[in-house]
Amino acid sequence: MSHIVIIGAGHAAIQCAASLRDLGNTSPITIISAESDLPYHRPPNSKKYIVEGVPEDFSLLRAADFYETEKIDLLLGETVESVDPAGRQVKFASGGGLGFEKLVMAPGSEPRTLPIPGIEHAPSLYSLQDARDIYSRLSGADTVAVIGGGFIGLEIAAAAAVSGKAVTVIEAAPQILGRSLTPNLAERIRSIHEEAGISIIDSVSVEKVTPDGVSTDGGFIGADLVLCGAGSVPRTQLAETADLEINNGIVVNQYLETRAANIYAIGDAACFLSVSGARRRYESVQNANDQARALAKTLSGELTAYSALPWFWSDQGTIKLQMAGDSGNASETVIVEGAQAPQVAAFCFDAQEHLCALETINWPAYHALSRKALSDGRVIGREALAAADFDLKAALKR
Amino acid sequence: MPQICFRQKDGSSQTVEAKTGETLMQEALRHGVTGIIGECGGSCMCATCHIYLEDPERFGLGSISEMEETMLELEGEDVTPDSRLACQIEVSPELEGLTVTVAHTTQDT
Ligand SMILES: Cc1cc2nc3c(=O)[nH]c(=O)nc-3n(C[C@H](O)[C@H](O)[C@H](O)COP(=O)(O)OP(=O)(O)OC[C@H]3O[C@@H](n4cnc5c(N)ncnc54)[C@H](O)[C@@H]3O)c2cc1C
Ligand code: FES
Repeated sequence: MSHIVIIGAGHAAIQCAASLRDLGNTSPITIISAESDLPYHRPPNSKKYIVEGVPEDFSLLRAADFYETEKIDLLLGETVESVDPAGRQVKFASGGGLGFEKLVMAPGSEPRTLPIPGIEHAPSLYSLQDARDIYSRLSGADTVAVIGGGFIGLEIAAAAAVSGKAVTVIEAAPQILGRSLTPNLAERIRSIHEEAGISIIDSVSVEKVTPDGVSTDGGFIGADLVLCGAGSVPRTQLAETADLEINNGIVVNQYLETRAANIYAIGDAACFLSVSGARRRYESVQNANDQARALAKTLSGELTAYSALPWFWSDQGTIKLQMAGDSGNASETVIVEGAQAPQVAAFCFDAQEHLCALETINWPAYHALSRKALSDGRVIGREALAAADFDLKAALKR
Repeated sequence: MPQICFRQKDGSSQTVEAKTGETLMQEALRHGVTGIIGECGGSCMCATCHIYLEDPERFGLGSISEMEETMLELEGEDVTPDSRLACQIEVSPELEGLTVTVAHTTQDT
């Protein structure tokens, strides 16, 4: 039976191992993780743990005894330093190594570090250990500056504001969430945060971080604690050692195969060929889990292309932002107000005027409806929606 | 800490001592109850914690939020009037003796 080695122990890695066992695959499985904590849910780090502290019984991906029960070898606190595709070996940073027949690379993404002086004074948030460290520093701070107005930066800002801190978000672009969300919704999210007391400064670049604040080209912003939320970059260093193709992540085809035989990549690190033929890389729990499920089938003998509908959420204070579908294909967007402000939906249509994505604020019903309809492959035309006054429920009943 | 019984569709069951204040999903996960994944960590986003309640009225679990109800719709035909998402139910002493059936059969969904 072929030994399957999985690098990483995040959402993608653990789901892959679990799905392999669910499919009755009895191959030996080894999971190698640079982190020392038992595999856990990452999202609570920026929503709860930095302000409430990380509990002893933090949210695990699987029960503690799962790995033993399922005969999965879990090596914690071990970093893979290089991969030899021809010799089918991974090498550990601590010395030694391990042979594999199949290698699943699920190393995730890591916070972008800004090339500015003093950036070491602005920790970023990724791991549970980061959450512990930031929690202990945050409790003593009254004023907090967050560099970066992306999802994680805003979640951190909102959590800190709710816990009573005076928070400033510093964004280089003219608007927060610039690359990730319909501008109209980004504008609304900004207003909600500002009404909640968060100060958002846009269009400034950070020049220096000091223990007492941030120097920008627009002036100095004092803060007891500066945090960095400047987005993420895929971890590709290992793939480089294996001479894999790299372009905005580890390049894989629709079967999540790299260009080296028997080496696959899933999760945040994988830049894959989507069903629409476009290259995509997502940083989301859904993407990690669903790619893991597809790959587990392939590894168990049933070649499976990855084709799941993307979805994502971000909880920022009172805001529940949800997205379903691939808005990268959108050529037109229609904004629809809900009954209870700030409830709103952005209907994204592709060139054929078919609904390709729906972005919502505090409108879980619409999120769920669109996700189900789009996953089921239903074609929802702009005209049909307009005829129903963009009442999604009514339009879907027709 | 109330005792809660998780039953599988094949009739097997597991009774766990659930921690007050946690959600049913987290307690199921902690005890390795098969079929409950909690993929979204309890954000009411994934429906991988779908359960059926037995005698919900008796335990004061008769009402359900709109958010939970619509998320359950993702489960399609598996949904019954007793369907709930385990991550939206907080464990309290009143749940002593509650029995739920897990909607999915494997660790996976
Ligand atoms: C603070 C935070 C909040 C988030 N909130 C949300 C949210 O609300 N909703 C959502 O959908 N997504 C959210 N995300 C994104 C989501 O967590 C990721 O998309 C998901 O974790 C990706 O899973 P993964 O398995 O690809 O990688 P990861 O979960 O990042 O796991 C990768 C693992 O591989 C290990 N590793 C890397 N290189 C090596 C090596 N060489 N040797 C050994 N181990 C290695 C890493 O240490 C890590 O443990 C959030 C992310 C963060 C950081
Ligand atoms: S854990 Fe995702 S909906 Fe309950």
